[in-house]
Amino acid sequence: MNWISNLFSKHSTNFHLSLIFFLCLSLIIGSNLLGQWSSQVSYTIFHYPFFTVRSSLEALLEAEEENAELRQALVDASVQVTLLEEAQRENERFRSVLGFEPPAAYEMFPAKIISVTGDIIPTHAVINKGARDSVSLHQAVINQQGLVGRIESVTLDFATVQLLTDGANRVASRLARSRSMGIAKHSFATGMILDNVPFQSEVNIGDTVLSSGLGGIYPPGLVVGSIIDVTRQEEEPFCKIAIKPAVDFTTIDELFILKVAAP
Amino acid sequence: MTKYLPYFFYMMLIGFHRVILADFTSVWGIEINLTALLVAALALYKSEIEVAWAAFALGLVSAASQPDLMGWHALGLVVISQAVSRSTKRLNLDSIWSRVGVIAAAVLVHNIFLALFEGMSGIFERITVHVLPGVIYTSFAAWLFFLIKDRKITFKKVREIF
Repeated sequence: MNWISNLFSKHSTNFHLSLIFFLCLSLIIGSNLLGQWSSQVSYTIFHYPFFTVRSSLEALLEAEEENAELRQALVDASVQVTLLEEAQRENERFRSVLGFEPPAAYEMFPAKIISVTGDIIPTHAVINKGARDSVSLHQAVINQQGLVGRIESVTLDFATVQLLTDGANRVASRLARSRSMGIAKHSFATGMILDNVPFQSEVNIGDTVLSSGLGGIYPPGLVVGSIIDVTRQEEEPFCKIAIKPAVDFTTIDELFILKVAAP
Repeated sequence: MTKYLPYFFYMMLIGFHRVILADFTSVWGIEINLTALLVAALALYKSEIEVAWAAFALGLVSAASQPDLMGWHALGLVVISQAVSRSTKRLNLDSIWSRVGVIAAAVLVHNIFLALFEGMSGIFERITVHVLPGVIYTSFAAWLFFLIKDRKITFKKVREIF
């Protein structure tokens, strides 16, 4: 055994180099499996931690940018709110001068969706608020994107929301810009459309569609969607208007129920 | 075991360089060849066996994204490490410039070796556009490294200037 140890110590450099060359050759001509395995180990230990750091840093930088944008948006919104409050006060003054009743004020309270039903897209949603939480029939339901639907049935602890995607749910609407009126409704065949808008109305793609408040269920001014297509045919008295709903009904989660505030 | 700790650190450094540092230190797409720089620098100071294993390991780490070329990368670095290690034993490398020269030669060989992986077409363009500027950039980094290592630049000296 001694001669082996002598031989090894005498030629240790050559022994090490031969071993390294053998390993290199195994990686070059050996099976792909060895290369894959070495790559995986090397990647996991020496690259992956830094990828995690890098992606966290990038996310942080993105968040910082987004934060700056949101701050700007908040400032803009604050200015807008101040102007709107001023306009509201002015509106109330003019209403009182003209002898009009003041517009109804609304309160919102949040609700969480428990389940949704519908064949292709959701048409009804069950929420975790019911009569105990002062939910009542026909209250309008919104989310941060716009009008979602109305309360169709109520039990003590739950309520069912009839979404705008249900064909039976129609919203008296008007165009925000031209004030032309129509009825927003949804069907699987056509998607959401704005019906009964006269042929000569001023309708443009991109116009916002709001609830008009007529019909008494939905308060005025809630965003229903925006116009994506307008077709006018000579023989038809009404325009064919396609709407893109403001709400993405496939991702709804948190909802808000609108309740007329106590005077 | 603590003897091998620096090598683990070098491997981490290569991973850090490839994932994060390379993007920040690259100038007009020219990158520092930190792997070749490390291997050549180790070859100046460490034994042949140590540097051969280090070159092999660093080759595996730097080529982790190319499993089918890992063996070639490791082999190339081992050959460079042995060439530097054996040649420097016969040379007097006291001056910084001679050491930078050796590093530049090692990086040049390694950069050409890497350029060959991309095929022979346009090889001369790659050599002039990427390889040679890469060698200059890496040599500059090596020069700074040796200045700091030989204490020609210290924090105290820098502070005294300002």
